[in-house]
Amino acid sequence: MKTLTAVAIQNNKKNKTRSILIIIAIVLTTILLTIIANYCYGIIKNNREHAGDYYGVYHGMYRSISQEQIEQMELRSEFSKIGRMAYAGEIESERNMALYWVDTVTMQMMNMENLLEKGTMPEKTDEIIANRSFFEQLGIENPQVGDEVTLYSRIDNKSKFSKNKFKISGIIQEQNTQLEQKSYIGYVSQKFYNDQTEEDTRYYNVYFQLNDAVKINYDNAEQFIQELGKKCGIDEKQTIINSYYIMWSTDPGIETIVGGSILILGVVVFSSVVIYNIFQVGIVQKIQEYGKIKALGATKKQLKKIVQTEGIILAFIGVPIGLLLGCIIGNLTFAWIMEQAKMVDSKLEGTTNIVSIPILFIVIIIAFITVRLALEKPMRMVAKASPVEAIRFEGNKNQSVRKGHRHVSVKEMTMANISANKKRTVGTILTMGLSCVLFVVIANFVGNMDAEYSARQNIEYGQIMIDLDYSLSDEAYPENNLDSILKEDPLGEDTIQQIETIDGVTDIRVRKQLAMKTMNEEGKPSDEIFSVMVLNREDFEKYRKDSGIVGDFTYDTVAEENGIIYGYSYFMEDHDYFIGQNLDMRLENGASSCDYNGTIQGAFGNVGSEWVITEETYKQLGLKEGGNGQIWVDCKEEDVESVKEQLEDILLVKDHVEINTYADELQASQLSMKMMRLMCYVLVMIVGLIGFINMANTMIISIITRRREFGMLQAIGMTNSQLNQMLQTEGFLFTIGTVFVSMLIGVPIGYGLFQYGKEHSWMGLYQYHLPWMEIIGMVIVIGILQTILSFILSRNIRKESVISRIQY
Amino acid sequence: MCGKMSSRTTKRKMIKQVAVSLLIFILFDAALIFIEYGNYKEKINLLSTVVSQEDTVKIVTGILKGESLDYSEGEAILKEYGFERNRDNVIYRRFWMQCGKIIGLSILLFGAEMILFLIITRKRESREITEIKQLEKIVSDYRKENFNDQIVSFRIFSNTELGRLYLEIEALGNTLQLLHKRMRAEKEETKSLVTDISHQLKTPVAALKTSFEILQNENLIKEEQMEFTERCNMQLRGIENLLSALVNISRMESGMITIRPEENYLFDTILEAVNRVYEKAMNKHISIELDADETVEELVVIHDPKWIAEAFINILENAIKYSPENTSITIRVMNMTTFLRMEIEDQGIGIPKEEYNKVFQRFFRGSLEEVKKESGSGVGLYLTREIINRHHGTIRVSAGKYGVGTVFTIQLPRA
Amino acid sequence: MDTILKTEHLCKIYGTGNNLVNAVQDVNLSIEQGEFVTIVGKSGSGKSTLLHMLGGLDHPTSGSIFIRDQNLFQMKEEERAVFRRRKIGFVFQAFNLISSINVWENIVLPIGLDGRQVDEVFVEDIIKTLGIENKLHNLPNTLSGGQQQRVAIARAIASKPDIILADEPTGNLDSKTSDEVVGLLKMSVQKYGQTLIMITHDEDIAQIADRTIVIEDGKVVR
Repeated sequence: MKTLTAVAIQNNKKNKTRSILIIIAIVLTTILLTIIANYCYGIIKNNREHAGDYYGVYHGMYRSISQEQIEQMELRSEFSKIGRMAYAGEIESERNMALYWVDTVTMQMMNMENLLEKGTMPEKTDEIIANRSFFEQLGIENPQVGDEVTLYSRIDNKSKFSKNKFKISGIIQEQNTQLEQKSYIGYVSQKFYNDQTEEDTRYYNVYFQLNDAVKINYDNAEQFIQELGKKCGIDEKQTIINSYYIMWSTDPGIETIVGGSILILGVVVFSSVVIYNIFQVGIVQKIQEYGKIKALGATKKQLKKIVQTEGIILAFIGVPIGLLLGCIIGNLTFAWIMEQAKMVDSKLEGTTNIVSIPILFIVIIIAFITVRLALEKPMRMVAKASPVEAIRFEGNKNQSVRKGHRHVSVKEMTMANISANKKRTVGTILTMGLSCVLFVVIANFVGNMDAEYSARQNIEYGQIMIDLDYSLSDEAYPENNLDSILKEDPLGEDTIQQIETIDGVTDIRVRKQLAMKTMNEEGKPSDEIFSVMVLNREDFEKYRKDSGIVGDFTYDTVAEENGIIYGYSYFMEDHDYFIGQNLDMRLENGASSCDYNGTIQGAFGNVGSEWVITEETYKQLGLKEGGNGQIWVDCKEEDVESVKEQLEDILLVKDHVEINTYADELQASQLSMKMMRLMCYVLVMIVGLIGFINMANTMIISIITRRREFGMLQAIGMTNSQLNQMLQTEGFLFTIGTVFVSMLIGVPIGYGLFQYGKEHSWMGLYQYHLPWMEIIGMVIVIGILQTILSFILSRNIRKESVISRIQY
Repeated sequence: MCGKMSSRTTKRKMIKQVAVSLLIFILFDAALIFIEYGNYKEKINLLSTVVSQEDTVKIVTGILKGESLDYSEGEAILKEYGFERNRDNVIYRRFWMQCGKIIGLSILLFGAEMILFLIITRKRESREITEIKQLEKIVSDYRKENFNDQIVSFRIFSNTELGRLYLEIEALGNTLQLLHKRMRAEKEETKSLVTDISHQLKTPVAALKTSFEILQNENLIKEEQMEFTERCNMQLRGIENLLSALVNISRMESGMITIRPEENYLFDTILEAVNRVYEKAMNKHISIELDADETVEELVVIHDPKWIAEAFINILENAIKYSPENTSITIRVMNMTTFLRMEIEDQGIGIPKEEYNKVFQRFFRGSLEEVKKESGSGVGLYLTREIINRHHGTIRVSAGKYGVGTVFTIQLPRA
Repeated sequence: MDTILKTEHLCKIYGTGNNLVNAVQDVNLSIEQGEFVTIVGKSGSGKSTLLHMLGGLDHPTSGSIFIRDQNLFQMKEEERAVFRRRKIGFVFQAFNLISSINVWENIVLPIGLDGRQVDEVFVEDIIKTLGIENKLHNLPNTLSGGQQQRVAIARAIASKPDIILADEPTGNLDSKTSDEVVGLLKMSVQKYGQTLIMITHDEDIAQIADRTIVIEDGKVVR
């Protein structure tokens, strides 16, 4: 046993070049695996953590719960945390303003503690915290902790507003920098709330977190929480679940894991082929050695063991290095990406440590499996080695006759060499080609990302877009829902007129947005709300052309039949919609409503609204004026800032509106594309490096093994320049083959990926063009590397005299 | 003549090159003009599109953003005003002017290329002429039978054809030189042969002369007379042997007798040789065994049976001469790929290793006592080797299988 | 006078200091055109080194080699390579055929490398003489040792070099095949007027040559 290890170590030492190449390949493979695994882990972990940041760390909420019910809840094991929140009154204001009391648990759950910019939580009766805009609404321009606030509030509609004096005990961070504030809330102390209400009229909204032991998933969560409520005497209707949080927190990250696994599988296959290749050529060369060991009495098993030990020793060197480098590279790039992401999205907080020991263990195991896989064939081959046969191994056994040429020179010689070693040639070209396939595929994808297009998808016209910031299913705050907002009509005619008066505005476009409600059996509209976009011919056709559509329709066919189109083809099946389905709905534009009956004619890839109807249909509905959903304002680029400021002034008094500029949007999409490119190219570069190592190995081995043949050729009259020419031609053919393979396989796959991505509205995929620049760049790089390699090798070989090569 | 030929081919080559480059220029021009025409068309299309719309800013910005051109309407409008496509207008004229420029420039370029081409060809031609002159000198040197002063300086000719011609000429020179050398060598050979023969003859003749002188002395008793007569006889026989060998050698060496190889059964030749020595072998009770495949009987080998038999006889006679009684001589015949291999093995005294190379030399006599005892001229094996050499065969000697005796291995090409 | 190959004070020293080996010491040879010379010596006597230097494959430490009054080592490397392939044909002990091309291609490869046209009639004649006309499309490693050596001989002769250098051409062959190969070499050079210098440690075979040079410890003794 020990002897075998010693032999293996000796073999590794003897084949230094091979060993180094394999170690590098293993290091790179491990780096790749580590990065992929870490990224997946990081993304999943990040999603979970940030799900809490975004949506609050609670599974659900029961509305209007009495103290007894709370006590009931507290008895149940399923709840791990229970927090209370109570409505402490409405403030007299033009805007929607209210006072709430929340306990510390709820604050934690809603991430309010983190948001506290300065000061402390309200404890005394007259203490209040809120964000700046709340105080601004109350006429305090620059609120400071300790400032006094006077406001008029009442606990319910029946009561009268009463004057209350508060001291600001803390200020909460502005959650959104935009002015689309939905409602303004001030948080007061429990004492204040208790003062305002009688003990028996106190009802709370109870936020809760479920015990980790409770196994719920996104699908059964609602039912589970409702049933849990029932056990505490809480009605279904009082139940609200935090579905986004549940979704993210219960999501095992299947998609990410699947994606990562596919990548890892790809890496494993690719790397094991490369390592196998390096091993194989090395072993073919030294097969006699193994034969000799066999002749000395080693069994097949022992021979296999030697090879395996050789590989495992190399893996023991390579894997830790790769692991370390992978963690460093992975962490750095991930941190950088997060940093970039934070610039775009201020809600993201903190850094995520993406290294997890169990994951690293898995990576180690996979890395070893890769090496082991690569060893499979060489092991079998070595087991078969016999000392007699070994000497004859060289060359192609199965071929005995060759047609050949009448005249032979360097060119024919090169071709003969290549065709005689078909397996090796094809192997090299394929592995080289495959690494380039990845490059071409990714280049196809990345190269076709169009930041402007992506930005234009969001801001379709002009420089600035104002649109409604609505929700469709906010049960806690129904005023945030689309139907309610439309009733307020924040983007109505008067707003438009105001906008028209702004200096620099050159053009205004308006698009209608409707709320649609399904009808229940009694013919009454239900609570479920959908958004419906009204598209004119131009926009409709544009969407039809740009996004992958399902179904066969044009503006005219839809207009004619008053049909309706679904907005997200990808989710159509999930929601049990199908082409030809008849919909019986109620449409509202805030000002009026009507019944609508139409057929689903198809679906767009992604239009940012659930349903689409044509302008013609809208006109026929006979709704009153209203329902402006989006306004685009165009102006000269230099005017954007001033126009935006004035728009903000106009819209200050409006709720539920959002302003976005094209420039910001463009910047954001450019940034995210930059990140995307970086990630993709890092991946490609490592894969390419592994591929190149393979190529280098093949060339080195092919030259070393043919040292003697080259010597022979030179002895019979090949000059150095002819030898050079031969090697260069060989390299050139490798390059051509590689490029050919990568184009042949890569371009169709890349195109498929592009089409798939386009259908699924991946960022900025718009118009397909072959990524010529990238491919040419790749060809040049391969060519240069190849040339340098053959140059160095042929120079290296020339150092030895012809005769010492022949005699070796 | 030769010069003319080569100049004609170079001329043809030149014309081809000129034609190719002309073709490239024309194609290039055509491509440029095609592009230019595309440009022109696009300009017109742009104008047509713009003219068809009232809001020019909108249409122009649209175009700049990459909207497709819709020029059919505008084209009609322009037509109304008499601006038809591909008719006289400024842009159209400019297009032609551009074409003119392209053609003019390429003619200029072509001219420049031609001049360059001419200069290069001139230069090459003048270099070729010097090279040809060198070749001429070599050839004239050869004619003067001057092979040594020649400029054998090895060079890679700028013109590969000339280089090859040089190689051929050199090879011819080498052959001439070889022939020359052979002629001279033959002369030398004859000279040394004469010296050798006179030397070889001197001793036996002198001995004979002494014997005769003694015989002429009448004081001899009868026994003495008998003895000297016998000795004379022996000397004479020796001289006779020597003479016949010398005749053979001199005939062959002086080329009086040439070997006439013809398709003959080799087996017959072997048989003939064996028959000729059979009696001598019988006298010493030496058996001659033939160990050969049956196919050998049918084997036809190109050889001169008379001379080959002579060669075999020489070897066999030697074998018999230097073998003790009651031994055997084995002749093995083997068919190889190119050669017919024959081994003649005896169980005689053998040849010391250091004499292997010398036994084939002319007039060489072995150093062993047994050899010195026997009469012999030292010509037989020399002759044998000569004969085999002239058949492009080989002969060599080695020790017998068990360290006893001698093996002569002869290879004769089968065809 | 008709010397085709001449060496003057040829020396080759390997290594330095204590490991210094005088592989070839002060060798002065002169070989006539059309001659068949064998160089005989035990292994390690420096005969191979000598032959390699004669063929321009190895550099002498000092001294010079003239082939037809051309100093071989005064040429540039590229020039020497070209010179070598035109003037010298090699036959090696290990045959040294190129495994990826067939017999015919192996034979005409030196001609092709030199950019010359193959004199097919001539080459076919050689092939016939050597008895390998049925193997032309075979790959070398399907042939027996003797056959491979025939191919190597054909290759050496086909480019019509002046000198053929044979380095133990029979080293890997049985005695009968050895005799035949040497016979072939001799026959070929006779037929095509070439000069043959052959290395061997087998004195029996050396008899066939016109002249034998014996080398011991890097020195010519006879």
